[in-house]
Amino acid sequence: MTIVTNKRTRAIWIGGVLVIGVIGLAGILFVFSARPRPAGPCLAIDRLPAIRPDYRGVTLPPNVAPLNFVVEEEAVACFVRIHADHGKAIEVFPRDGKVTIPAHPWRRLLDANRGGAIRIDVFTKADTSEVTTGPTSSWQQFKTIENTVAAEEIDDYLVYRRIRPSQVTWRTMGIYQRNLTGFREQVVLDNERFGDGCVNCHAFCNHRTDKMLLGIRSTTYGTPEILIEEDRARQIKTKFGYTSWHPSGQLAAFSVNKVRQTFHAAGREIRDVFDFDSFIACYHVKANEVETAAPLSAKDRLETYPAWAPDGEYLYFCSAPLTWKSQETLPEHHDRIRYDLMRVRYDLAGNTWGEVETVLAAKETGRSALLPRISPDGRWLVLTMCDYGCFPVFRESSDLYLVDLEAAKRTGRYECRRLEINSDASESWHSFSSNGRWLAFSSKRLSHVFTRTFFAYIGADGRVHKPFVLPQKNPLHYDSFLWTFSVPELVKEPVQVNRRTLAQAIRNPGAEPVRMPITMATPKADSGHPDAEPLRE
Amino acid sequence: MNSADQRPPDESTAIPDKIRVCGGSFLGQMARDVVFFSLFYAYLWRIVGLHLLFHGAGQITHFPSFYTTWEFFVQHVSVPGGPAGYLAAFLSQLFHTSWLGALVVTIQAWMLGVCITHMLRTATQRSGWAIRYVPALLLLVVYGRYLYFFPTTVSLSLALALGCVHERISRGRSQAWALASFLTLSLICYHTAAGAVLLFGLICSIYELSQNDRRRLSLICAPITLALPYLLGVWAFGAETVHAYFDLLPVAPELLHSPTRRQGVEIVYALFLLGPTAILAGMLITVARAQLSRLLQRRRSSRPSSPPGRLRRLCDALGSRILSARICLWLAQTIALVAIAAMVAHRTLDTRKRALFGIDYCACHRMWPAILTEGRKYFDDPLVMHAVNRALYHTGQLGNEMFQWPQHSGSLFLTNAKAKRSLWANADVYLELGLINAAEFALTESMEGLGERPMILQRLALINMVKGNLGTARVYLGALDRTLSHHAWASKYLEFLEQDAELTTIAEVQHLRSIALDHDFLSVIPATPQMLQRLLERNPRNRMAFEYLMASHLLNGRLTTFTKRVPQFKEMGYPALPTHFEEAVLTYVYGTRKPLYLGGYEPRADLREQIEDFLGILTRHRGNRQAALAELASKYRKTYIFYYVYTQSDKAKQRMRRQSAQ
Repeated sequence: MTIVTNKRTRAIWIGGVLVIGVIGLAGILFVFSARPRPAGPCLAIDRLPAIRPDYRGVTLPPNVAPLNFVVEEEAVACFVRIHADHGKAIEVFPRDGKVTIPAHPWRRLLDANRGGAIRIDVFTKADTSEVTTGPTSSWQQFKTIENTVAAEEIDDYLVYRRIRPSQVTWRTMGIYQRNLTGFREQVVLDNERFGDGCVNCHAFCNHRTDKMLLGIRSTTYGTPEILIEEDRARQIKTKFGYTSWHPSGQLAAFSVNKVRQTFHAAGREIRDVFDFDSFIACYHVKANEVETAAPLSAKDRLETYPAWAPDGEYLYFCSAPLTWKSQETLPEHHDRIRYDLMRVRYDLAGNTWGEVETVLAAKETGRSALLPRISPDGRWLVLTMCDYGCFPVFRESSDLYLVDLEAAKRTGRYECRRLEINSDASESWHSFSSNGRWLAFSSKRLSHVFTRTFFAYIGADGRVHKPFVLPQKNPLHYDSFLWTFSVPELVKEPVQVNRRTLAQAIRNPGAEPVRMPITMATPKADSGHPDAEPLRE
Repeated sequence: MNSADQRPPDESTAIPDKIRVCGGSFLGQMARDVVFFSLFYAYLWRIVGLHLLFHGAGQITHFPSFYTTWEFFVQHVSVPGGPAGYLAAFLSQLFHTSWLGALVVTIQAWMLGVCITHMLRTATQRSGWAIRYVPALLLLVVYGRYLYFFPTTVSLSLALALGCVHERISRGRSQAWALASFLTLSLICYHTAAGAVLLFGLICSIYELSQNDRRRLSLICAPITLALPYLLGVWAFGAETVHAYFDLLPVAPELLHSPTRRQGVEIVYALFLLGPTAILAGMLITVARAQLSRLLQRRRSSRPSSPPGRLRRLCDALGSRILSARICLWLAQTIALVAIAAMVAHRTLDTRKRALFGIDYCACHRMWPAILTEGRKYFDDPLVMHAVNRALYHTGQLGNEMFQWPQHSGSLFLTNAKAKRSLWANADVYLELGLINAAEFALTESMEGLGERPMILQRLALINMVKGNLGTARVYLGALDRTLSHHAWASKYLEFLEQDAELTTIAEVQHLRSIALDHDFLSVIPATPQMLQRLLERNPRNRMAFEYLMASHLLNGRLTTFTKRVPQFKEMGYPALPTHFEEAVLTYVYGTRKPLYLGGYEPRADLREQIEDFLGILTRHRGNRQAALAELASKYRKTYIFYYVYTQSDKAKQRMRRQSAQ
């Protein structure tokens, strides 16, 4: 190839190279000049630095995404060093106090320090006018933040519902999944796919996504449940409420609730929810059949929130006496509606139910027991308790409690303990990780309206460590995020079925009807398809 | 043929003289544009008032929100159609200031006209100068009817602009070059404007059809355009087929599925079809003309040439004179154009909607006198009456003037109007009364229905400051801080929160805290008379709660309850008992024959005479209300007793009839 050059082109080339060189040099200078660090001994500040979100003294999974944060100290410059006993330290030079931790070094550091600790040193410079290079610069160092790195990983994915804090109307909402090892959030299904309906109550079998249930409410497509098996999705033509899979994957217990939303005239929370009627039914996957049983659908009680024990031998659920007659008006003493925690033995082979046992009686605890979840090893039961009612996320008094099921087996007595991780706001919608070491839960502690997802480590002794909020790439993310995270469920893998397949399943008019015994109950809740509802005797 | 031959001649030589005469010179065109678009701009700014569209009045449910954050930008530009959505969201925020919004729409209208005429000229060698103004006329109709299709028209603008870019790039070039240009621009068009790529493809196909040496390309353009949304949208981005093809078109599901959003969508159809139709029509006319001139030429050549007739000579002379007088022609064309535009604007301006939007805007911005002036024309709308009552209270006229307006029992708290609109309208009344939770409820529901509108976020931030939910207030303020229109307000309040978490210096917060309902109870609806009573128990000086409660008693005919509270007027410091309230007491007294007690106020003789005359007329008609209606309405339509007799419950009516018959 012959390159024909003349003076003019040469000049252009040289000029171009020079310009690029100057720009590059300026860039390098800019980057390095903007990286102030303490040159000598610093003034020690005898307190932890103020950072947001609060990632101080927490226990982290070794596979979690970088915990980016903002340093909230008056300073003109800041320097953050993250280090541990093993591995290379990470240095961050935040602009505007925003500490964005590089992903790969962070992952390596956590991995090298499983079961150990990572430490965060925060240095700030008070005033530019006092910049010195001498031995006592204007830099100050706060007490080191020490976070524990657990040996056990958290499941890679979190599936949750994202919705705005409204009560009656909705425009956009969806089920989303977030890779916890990074920051990627994906839509599993949003309501735009099927004409602005409602999508809710996602339930997984054994923390896997190859068996999953998803509730739909739509004026166009009714209130079907979507069953996902492997990479296929099909419609179940009946409405499910709160759902729990039997560990065998052969059946799922679900509640049917006649829900009434109400409004608080004063106070922090404006909304409340009551079940005017409810019971629990079971869906048998193979037979495509819904059935209920006497222990789960007593006429004079409100049964809800089913949760299978990991061995599948017991179904835990909540139940309150139905003390008022009217199905239309609010009970006068609504603040006395309190749910007991119950359980009932189940035999899968014979499909038979035993007698109902009371685990925690509201009469004794003085609180309403809701949302039971059992750890995969069967040792711990975590539930929420609030002053009254059936919807803990709307009750400020709602807290997480722990029951040691093994201890109860030994002593014959169930004792619940309020967890130290609770706040003055509502805590609810918790779920265990597949290894039972992590608890994901919704909390309103950051603001009393928007629920955010928090994670807490549960030690082998049942001690629950200080929780931390779901990390975001932008540490200021929650400052202006007008959505709530609801029903966070930890799963081992991403949802396999894509949005299109799910939407097709919802729109499928030829879904096979569910076989339902005519002896089932209750005027339907808020279904658009009354004929698809199970009826109570 | 070499490339020089393929290239069309220079524009000045390419356009025949006739076109230049009709279309006018470049300067003439510019001058006409200036005149027309200046008037267009002034009309949008002063008459339509695009700030009303930004406000939305609880009726525009798809006005986009816009945040000045990197995440918001990335979220948009990473999906097909996102860049157009982002641009539309950004430009829509400028509607907040009417003159800026009008400028945006004017530029868009001008650009649409320029693009269409450019494509027309290059495809058909015809100027079609009048076509240039048709998009503007259609946009006049859209905005005159207070319809919001801005994102759709932005995608249209992008598709047309890219069509022009394709023409410029491929002008005089080979087929391969033109194909490469088309493919690249199609990808860009699909990514920026989603479904509008179909229009881009159609225009390019038609354009290529007009190019003698590249006609085959027009056949290739069509399948590429049809395949692109599937390949990129459905396959690569996992979108639903209907969204992949139709997003940002006037047939998009988000428009068609909503009865309010699809209002007037046919105008946007016309806007979309205008370009391709004009170019196709231009091409057909060109072909027809060519055929005709060939035919005439053949005929002329077969006949011996004869000198032109007398008439023909006269016409030519006359025509050449007129045509030579370009300024006259320009003037005539421009006047005709402006006249047509004025007629379109006049015929299509929805004055009722303008008033309703305006009243809601004034209510939102507490412009009470304007509500009372404008409300006179549209008092049949419950939302107007709701705003009027609020304005009457704030101007101190509720007790004296409320029955000068047609009232009904739901005028104070809208219960019958369409749910989302009434929630939005009620929110401010709840807030001013001290029903903080009711206001929060109405606003959170409105946010779901109307989107993250800055006015809603602003009120929610204030409410949470009042409630002491500072974490939540910060989230709303944080979102507002990232908007264009309310950034300054949010920054100020975030600073206040930093300095003083109790907000002791913010008078509005302190006032609302002093009147806020503090007694909790459950209710299915957010505001009831019971709540007004509770508000007065909480703060007996809550004048608005008092007047609204008393007015509510009057509107619902609860006179016994009303009269029990009459002594409170003195306690509240009213110098005189407001007229309608005194009329109500007299109505009660005459209805029940109980002694008159006005809580320490002197009775007014004229009101007593008035009620006696009223009852006298009713008696003359033997208690037949229908028979007495005309006479009573002419004299006492604007009194409380008239409202009471003609609108209250049968029981009350019977009682009144009995009393008047005696």
